[in-house]
Parts: sequence; C-alpha cells; structure tokens
Amino acid sequence: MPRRIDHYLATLVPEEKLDFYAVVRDFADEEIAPRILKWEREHQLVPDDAIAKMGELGLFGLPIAEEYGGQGGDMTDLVLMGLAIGYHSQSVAITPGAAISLGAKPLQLCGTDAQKKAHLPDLAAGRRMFVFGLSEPGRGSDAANPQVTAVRKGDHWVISGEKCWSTNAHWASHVIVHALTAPDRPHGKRSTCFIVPMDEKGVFYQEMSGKRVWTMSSTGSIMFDEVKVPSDAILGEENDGFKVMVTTLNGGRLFVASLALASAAFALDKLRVYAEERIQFDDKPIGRFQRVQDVVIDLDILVERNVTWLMHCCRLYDEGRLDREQAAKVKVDSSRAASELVALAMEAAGGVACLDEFGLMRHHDDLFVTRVGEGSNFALKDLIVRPLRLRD
Amino acid sequence: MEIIVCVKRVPATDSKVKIAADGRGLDPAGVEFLMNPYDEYAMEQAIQLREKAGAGTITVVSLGGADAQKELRQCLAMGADKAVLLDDGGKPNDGCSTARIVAAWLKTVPHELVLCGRQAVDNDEGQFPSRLATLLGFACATEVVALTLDGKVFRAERDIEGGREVVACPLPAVISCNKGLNEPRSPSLKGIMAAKKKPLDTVAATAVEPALEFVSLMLPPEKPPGRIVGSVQELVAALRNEAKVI
Repeated sequence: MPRRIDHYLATLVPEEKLDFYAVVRDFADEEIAPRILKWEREHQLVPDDAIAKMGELGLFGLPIAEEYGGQGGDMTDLVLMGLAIGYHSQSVAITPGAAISLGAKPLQLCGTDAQKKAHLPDLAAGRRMFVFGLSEPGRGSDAANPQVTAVRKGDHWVISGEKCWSTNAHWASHVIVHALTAPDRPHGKRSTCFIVPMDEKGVFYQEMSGKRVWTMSSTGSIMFDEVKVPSDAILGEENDGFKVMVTTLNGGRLFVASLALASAAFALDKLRVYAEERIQFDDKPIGRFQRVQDVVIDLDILVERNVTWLMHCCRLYDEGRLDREQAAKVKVDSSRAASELVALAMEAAGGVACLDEFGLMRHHDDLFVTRVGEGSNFALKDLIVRPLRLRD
Repeated sequence: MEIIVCVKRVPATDSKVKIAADGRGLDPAGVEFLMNPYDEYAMEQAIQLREKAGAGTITVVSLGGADAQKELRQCLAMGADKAVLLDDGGKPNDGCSTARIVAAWLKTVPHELVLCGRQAVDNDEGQFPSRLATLLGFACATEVVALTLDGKVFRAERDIEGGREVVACPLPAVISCNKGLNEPRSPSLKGIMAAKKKPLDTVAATAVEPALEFVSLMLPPEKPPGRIVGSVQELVAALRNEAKVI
C-alpha cells in the first residue's frame, strides 16, 4: 500500500528528488523492514551488511560534494532519506543520518582542504565514520562548557576526559572532540574541536548499556586518557569550537524532525489500515467510530502540515537563510506532536499495540529520543523565546 | 564497445489487473508499471562490462509510449549513457513485431552487443531475444547466468536441466539475461541527477504488420466460495461425487 506521506511529498518536492526518495523508500521496504524484528529481538546493532548496502546507495555521502566523492545533494535529500528509512526504523535511519549531520558535516563546514581531502572521500563511501563527541556525563544541554580538556604541550595537545551519548561510536574511525582549551575566556570562546582517531593511544570506547530506545543505533561512551594529538588535528579555529558545534547542530535538528514525522507517517498508515480490519460491536470496523477517526485525522493533519513546514525549512537551510529558532521550532513541534499522537494511535489500536511486530511500540519509544536529542526540547525553547522577548 | 540494452515497461506482477473495455488488452488505470525485472539484469551487466573494459557506450532502448520514458530515465540513472524511446504510442506488440521494429532501428546505430531480459513478465512470450538475433544474423545465448568478454569473444553460462552449459562465440551477439547473473544496483542520487542531463531521444517506431492478433484477454474464473459441510459423511460424498477426487 502506498504511504500516505508520499501523496504530500509529491506536491512538495521536485521530481528528481522524489525519484531519489522512491529509491531509498523501496530499499527500506525491501531490505530493512523485513529484518528489523529479528535485529531487535536479538539485540543487534544495524548489521554491517545493511550499512554496506546503504553505503552502496551513496547514503553516507548524500550532502558531500561530488569532488570529494559524495552525491552532491542537499538538506532536502538528507531529510527525504530520514523520512524514507525512519518510517520503518529511526535507529537505522539515524546511522547514515548522524554519520552525515554530526560526523561529516563539521568537517565540511569547518575543515581545511587537507582535512577534507584526507577524510571526506572515505566518509562519503561509508568506508569511514566520524562521531561527534559533544555530550559528557556532566554536560548535556550545557555543552558549551565541556569538562573534557585539551592542554597545549609544545607543538601538540593532550586531551583528557569522557564523552558519552556519541551516536555511531561502534563504527567510528575518528571522533571529533569538543574540549575546553581556554577556561578563562568568555562563554562561547573557550573550547576547541579536535579530530582524534579512535585507535589513538589512550582512546577507549564502550557501548552504553541499558538503552531502550534507538536500539539498533550505536551509542558510545568514549574515554580520553591523556591522548596526544598534533595541532593540525584542530577542526576550525582554536577556541572557536562552540561555533563548530552550533553550526553543525542546526542542520541536524531538521533531520531529527524528519525522524519524528517518519514515525507519525508510519502510525498514520498502520492505524488507518488496522481500523478497517479490526471488527468490533455489531460487525463494524473500528475505523467507523469517530473517536478512532479523530486519531487518524490528527495524524494525517500533523504529517501534511509538518512535512510541508519541514520542506520549507530545508529550502531555507539550503539557501543559507534558516534561523536557529526555525530549525528548533520544527524539531520541537514535530517530536512532541508525533509522540502524543503515536501514543493515541496505540490506544486506539488497543492491546495489539503492545506487540513488537505491530511496530508502533518501536516508534513510540524512539520518539522519546527526538524530544531530547540534538538539543532537548526544554533547552531549545530557550532559543525559541529569544526573538520573542522585548528586553534581554 | 557499443552495448545496446533493450528494456520494457511492464505492469508490476503484484498489481491487480483489469481487462480493458475492448476485451483485448489491460486497463492501465490504477496499475503500477515498472521496468521488466529481467531487463534490470541486462542493464546491470552492461554497466559491469563497461566498467571492466574501462570504456564503451551503453544505449538503452524501449519500444512503447511516452510513459516508458520513466523506465529509460531509471536506466540512465543506473548508468546508461543515452536512451532511445521507439515511440509507437504504447500499443501492445507481440515478440515477433517487437523484434522487427528493434532490428530496423538497430540498423541506424552502431552496436556490437545487445543485452535484454530473458522474457518480459507481462506476456511471458520469451521470443524477442532469439527473433532479434535471427533478424540481425547475430549469435545468440539465452537465459544467461554468467557472462564474460575476452576481447571480442563472449563466454556465457546457461542453466540447463541437471547442469550448466557454457557457450562461447565472437561478437556481435544478442544475450538474454536470467536471474542470478548479477545483483542490479539501485540508482544513487548522483546518478538520478546526472540522468537529467543525459540524452533521451524519441524516434518513431517503424510500422510493421503485427505477427499476432490479440483476439481476447480474460481473467481466470473466480473461485467459488468455500462451503462448510455438516458431517464427515457429507464431506466424503462431496469429495467423491462433486470434486471427484476420491
């Protein structure tokens, strides 16, 4: 059955982008969807062969320039991938998604020519993956003040501390470490980003245990025990790490919004089909009851409205005109509305929604990440309110 | 090397088809169309041969109406260099007429190797490859599951009953491709974008007299609904007297 969201995308996206979306959607339907349940039940991360297939499709190089072996795509393409794969599994979609928007993106935005030439071709092909070391055990929303430190010693730097919640750590070849380098300088001017190979002496990775959301996505904790790196490992300018971080996260929020809407799109199709099949009370399908219809309608409204909004934001991003607040708003609203409506869709379906094979529980759980990931909704509202204040 | 790949737009095999009002063809309304799956193996093989040779041109051709441009674009996105639509307005053709039309067009373009699917999954005639080779006077290997080129000599493997047959012959040749030959690639974003800039020409298909006339087309009779019988005796009697299976 065609996805309802495709009907809306057809009016919003140019034909060649729609063709690309259809290729990724068909790939997700044929190669990902039939295998998810097994991966989940066996507590697997996305298997290597699935990552390799996504690499062959060019998904890891979507917005990387063709001169570096990428696909030369833009934010719209990235978000279309999020919608196409996230419909079945957010954790599968976030694997290339984070590799691009958190791994390759800072390098694209702030890397030197030499750094780009050294890494982007392998990143684009999916042969190498970067992970962004941002959150720490003691620093989440307040990521601008890292507790990980980098101290200059002669012609090199020594990095110490711990990062956590690093998406894709399991597959990472390098970690971009956001570290405190000038504690006495003003806020936003005291940290620096470094590119550190994961096999460097003193780097230790461990998969975080007990995570019950995005179960197939790797989330790592990375320790730095006096790791020595040369000065050319700096990404961007010294003491300008906050800027690297902020410009990177802006685009990532649109991708997270696409995952939230992909879950809503799945719930919409799942519920509208189930509501026609499930017969109760005098041989009526439950879809004839207005309270069930209400949930279907609200999901439909959310999908059409927010996909339209998201595509608008992608266009602005690609034109370099997207405000931080705009990216934050579409992420906050999509994640919150999708969470609420997917929970209602489960309630309308009844007990069957408790089963993993029904699929809604997976989306329900994963939607929590879209509320707290890539900037928690609570913290992002601080950003959103700024232009609304009359006085500082 | 000049490689020609022949592709056909066919209804998806899981589509629910309806007979057209004239009773002689399919009603395309509501039916999903796609590239004949066996033709995807031909397209992939052409790309692999060109990659291995490091040079060559792949021209993909389809006989049909303007709708078939979608499948041609898909081939361009996979990696074909140019595409030609032999436009006949999309009327139904039998394998013999199709071979005549394509053979007539091939006389106007350079070609050394013609690749196609073993059969189209709409009519399942499977006649086109051998008829085309005959008209061109080319060597032909059908239902190929492995194919290599050594200079201008091809070596093809075919699954036959209880074994595998290996044939070799100098080009030019027509090869029909079977499942197992390769794993067709999906177009990448870069391929899709590049496809927009590649040439897709429309040429009027040569008019030929149809070799076959489609007289009528009908769906299989609907199965009668199941019946719940009241007793074992009744069941045995029904199986013996009505179904006549015991």
